[in-house]
Amino acid sequence: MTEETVIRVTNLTKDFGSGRGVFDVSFEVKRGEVFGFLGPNGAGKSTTIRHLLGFTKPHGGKTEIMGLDCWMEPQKVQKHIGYVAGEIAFPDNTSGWNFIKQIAAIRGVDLKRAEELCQYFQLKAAGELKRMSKGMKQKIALVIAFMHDADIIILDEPTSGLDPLMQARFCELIRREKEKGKTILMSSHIFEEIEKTCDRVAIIKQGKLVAQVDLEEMNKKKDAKYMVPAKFSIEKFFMHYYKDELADCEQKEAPNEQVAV
Amino acid sequence: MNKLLSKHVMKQNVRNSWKMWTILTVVLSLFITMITVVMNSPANLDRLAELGQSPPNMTDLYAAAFFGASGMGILLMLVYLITTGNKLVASEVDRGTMSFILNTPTTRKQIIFTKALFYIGSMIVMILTMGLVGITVSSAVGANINIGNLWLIILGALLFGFAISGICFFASCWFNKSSQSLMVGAGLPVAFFLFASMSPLITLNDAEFLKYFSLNTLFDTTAITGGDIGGFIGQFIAMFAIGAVLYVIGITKFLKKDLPL
Repeated sequence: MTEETVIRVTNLTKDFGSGRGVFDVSFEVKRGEVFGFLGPNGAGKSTTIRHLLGFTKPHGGKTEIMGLDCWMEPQKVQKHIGYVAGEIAFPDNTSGWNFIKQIAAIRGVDLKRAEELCQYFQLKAAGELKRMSKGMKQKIALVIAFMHDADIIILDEPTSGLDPLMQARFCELIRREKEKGKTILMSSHIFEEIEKTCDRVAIIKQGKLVAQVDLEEMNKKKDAKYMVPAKFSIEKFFMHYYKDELADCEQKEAPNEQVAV
Repeated sequence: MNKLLSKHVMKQNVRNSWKMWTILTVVLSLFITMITVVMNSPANLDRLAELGQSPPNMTDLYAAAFFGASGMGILLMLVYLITTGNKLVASEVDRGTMSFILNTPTTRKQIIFTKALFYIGSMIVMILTMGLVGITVSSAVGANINIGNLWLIILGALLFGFAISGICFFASCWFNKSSQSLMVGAGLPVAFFLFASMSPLITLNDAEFLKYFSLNTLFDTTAITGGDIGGFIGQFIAMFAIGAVLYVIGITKFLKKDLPL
């Protein structure tokens, strides 16, 4: 694995007012790495990702992909990216397969890999998009993100709506892509998925990056210290940063429990 | 196509709008044909002769019933401009469907210029089709028509359509929410239409000032049929300027704004 930095976010700030946005976020993702982005809804995951796609202009700092400024040169950056948005919406007057074909035509790629991916996700894309379930739409978005064999894959909650079988397939796909040397950045709420796929994880809270961990290293450390194969738990690590919020929840729930008793 | 336009974006817009465009254009063409044939039927001409009146002046009739600011042709064109205008940009941004096209090497510039061209082009072809059907049918039935004046009226209708489409396009580019885009992009043209239709009625009550709040007032077909160039040339220029300014603002906004995709 080379140590080339593919995604670089430097002091990214986007202030939407009333405490919302992202503030002074910095991180790097190296070639061939799978980088997980963890945080509750509204923490700033999607906002950071939108900057990487060049959809949003930073108030401060910058985002670069392969040395190109994402806001200044989005069309050059886009060639290298496959993207699955957090909120997926398709035009409703076409079929899934037709839509895949349209995007493939714009990118100038053939449909061989799209067909393979459809098969892989057991997706029959021929139906009308507007009649499709959330899971099927998610699969179509995944096919579109991976079909042009982009070097960098950016995924915003990629498994939402997928059944457990397909989630497992998704994790396997990420592993295979990583082996091919792809760089992947994904946000997720699912600890297991993050643990299975990611090399490094960043935790974001109220728009600020509060922690970055190297999962492999953490696992090694634990092994050495306790001499048992105790796996590092990203869930516990995450909860550590959100313990105040969790305590709040427990307090609010407590009176109800008493009533129930 | 060259760098400013994308044939895929063009195709996509044609796919989205051709049904409505075709229905409205066919309905209007049939209607203009019907009116022309009925007004110039031997029965009607005989009746007019009995009353001592000359055959109907089709230019005046077309001006009042179709191309004038309160005419049926313009009203249906308004329906097309409002719905298509909103679909063009705001709806795609609001729903999130635009993220797919942006995740290709297609630039924002290509997207917005192609959309503007499609929008203006489809409006021009709609009005020209109506005009050509009117002229053709009138000549076929040997109607009394001043073709020179009719072309001036059609030109006025085109400029009026350009100005109104500018409002819809501007609103669609400016707002990220369909509802807000419609409030301006549909609200203003409809209000203009109502003010213009009401102002002759309210003249009696000294409320004629209402017409100054309407863009429709700029398109005065009686000045054109009256042959008074000074009475409409200024308005023609004003309508073109309003449209051009709104398109420029809309395009600039779209190129620079944050997209919540």
